[in-house]
Amino acid sequence: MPGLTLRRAKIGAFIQDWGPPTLTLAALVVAWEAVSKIFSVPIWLFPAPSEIAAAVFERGSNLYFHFGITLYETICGFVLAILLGVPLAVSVTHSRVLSNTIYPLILVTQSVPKVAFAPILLIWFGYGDLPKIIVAFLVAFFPIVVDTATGLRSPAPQALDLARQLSASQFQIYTKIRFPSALPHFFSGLKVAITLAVIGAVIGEFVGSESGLGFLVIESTSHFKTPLAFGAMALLALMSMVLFGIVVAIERITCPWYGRDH
Amino acid sequence: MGIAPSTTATAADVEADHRDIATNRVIIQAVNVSKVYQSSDGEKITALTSLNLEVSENEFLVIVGPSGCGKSTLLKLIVGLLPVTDGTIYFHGQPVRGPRTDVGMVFQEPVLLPWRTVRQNVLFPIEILRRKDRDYVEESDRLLTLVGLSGFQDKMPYELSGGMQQRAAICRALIHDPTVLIMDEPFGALDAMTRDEMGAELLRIWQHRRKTVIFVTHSIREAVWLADRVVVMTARPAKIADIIKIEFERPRTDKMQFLPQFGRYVEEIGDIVAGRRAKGLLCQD
Repeated sequence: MPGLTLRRAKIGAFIQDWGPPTLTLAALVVAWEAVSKIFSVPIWLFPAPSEIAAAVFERGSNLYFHFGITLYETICGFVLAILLGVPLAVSVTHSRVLSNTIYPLILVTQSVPKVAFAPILLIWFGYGDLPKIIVAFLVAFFPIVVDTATGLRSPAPQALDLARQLSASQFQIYTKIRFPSALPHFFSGLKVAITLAVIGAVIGEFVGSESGLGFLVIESTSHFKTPLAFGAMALLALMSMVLFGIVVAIERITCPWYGRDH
Repeated sequence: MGIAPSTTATAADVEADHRDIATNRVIIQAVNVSKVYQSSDGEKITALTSLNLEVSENEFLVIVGPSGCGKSTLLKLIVGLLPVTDGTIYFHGQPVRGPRTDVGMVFQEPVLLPWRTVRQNVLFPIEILRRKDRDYVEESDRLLTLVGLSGFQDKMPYELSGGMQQRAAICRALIHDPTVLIMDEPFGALDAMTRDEMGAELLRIWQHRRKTVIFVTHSIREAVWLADRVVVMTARPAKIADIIKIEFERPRTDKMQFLPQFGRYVEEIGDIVAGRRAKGLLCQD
């Protein structure tokens, strides 16, 4: 039966794609566990995976709370970066004057180390979520602007000539050619931006906060609760990967054609 | 078929042929057209100087010449994508002052929009022009059938071969029923066999949908086979070296390529391109 063979082939491909990385990860965890048990590494120095898991479960719902806070800050910063980054990319593409005005400013904000800037944000905006959202925004913003601007400039000159020949309005040129062409570049920017946004939120929390996974790392290490710090880090990595995965999934749905014709 | 007498158009000829515009035979007329570019370092580059040319209604005009001789510039001037520096281009007797929407364009690359299906690509000009006067979906299907792409309407461009993509691009150029079809080395990116096939195809489409065609190519054989007249251009600053009238009957067949006269045309044009024959230049200056 062809249907069955197809399904078997699909399962085969799935195993081929996901088998090796899963096995590698599992083997690493087992080896880590074994090494820490055999050499009895002190728990405060380098906890075994089982000890980390125990610490995570012990904290329980409180961890979800911190997870939620960091996630909230990350997403707010990220969305803000899109909302401001895309119009900026359009204006940079649209006019040379604006490009010459805005690009240096963007470069300046990007050249200032965000870690150095975070304490100042703390003075301005206090201990709440806002400074973290701003740091997340600041780091996520740059790749979105740069990549979207590149994307908006990516259409073939002939495609633009074709539209101009038909007396297309600027609005039509953007909606029918420039924006769709820019999508793959926009998503490359988003992929970099989302992982950076998580880091930005954590930096914000490091500088001064009462909640979030970044705060948890600082708090637990100061009390030598190393397993909990590792747990928080694992959750941060998980958050980053899941968010990244979501962006990739949206990219596949929005531009399935990309990379097929080149 | 309204074909103008094959002369290198001098200013005097152009003057005399103003009558033809009135009778609607000459569709495009370039009078003393010059184009000067300003390069980034402020240097002035002359792309075209005092060029005179006229194209008749339903004529198949082919332009040949060395790379960078301003052929593409000339096309852009004709369709109004670039302003002329000097002189005037008349389109249906009116000076060209901006993009002409009654023109269809085909480039060397198909430039289909990769996120649109073949049909959506063909319908692109209709969307831009916001035309609703007839059922263009049906028209797009008719055109796609004409070029042998029936059944591919809902495919994505990447699912088509280069030759098929270029056929779809030709449909897109024809969908809004333009009076003039501009083709800038349309088969240049295709392999030799597909190229011959596409030439035959284009002639067949042209028999069905009579249009004025202005076709740029590097291939002299292609030019002789397709053209009513071949315009030979010289390198920068571009000038028309000569215009050769091709006296083969229509419809053209593959066999014509083996006629002695075909070889003579190819040789003559080759000589003019290489500068071995200066009669056109003498005629113009």
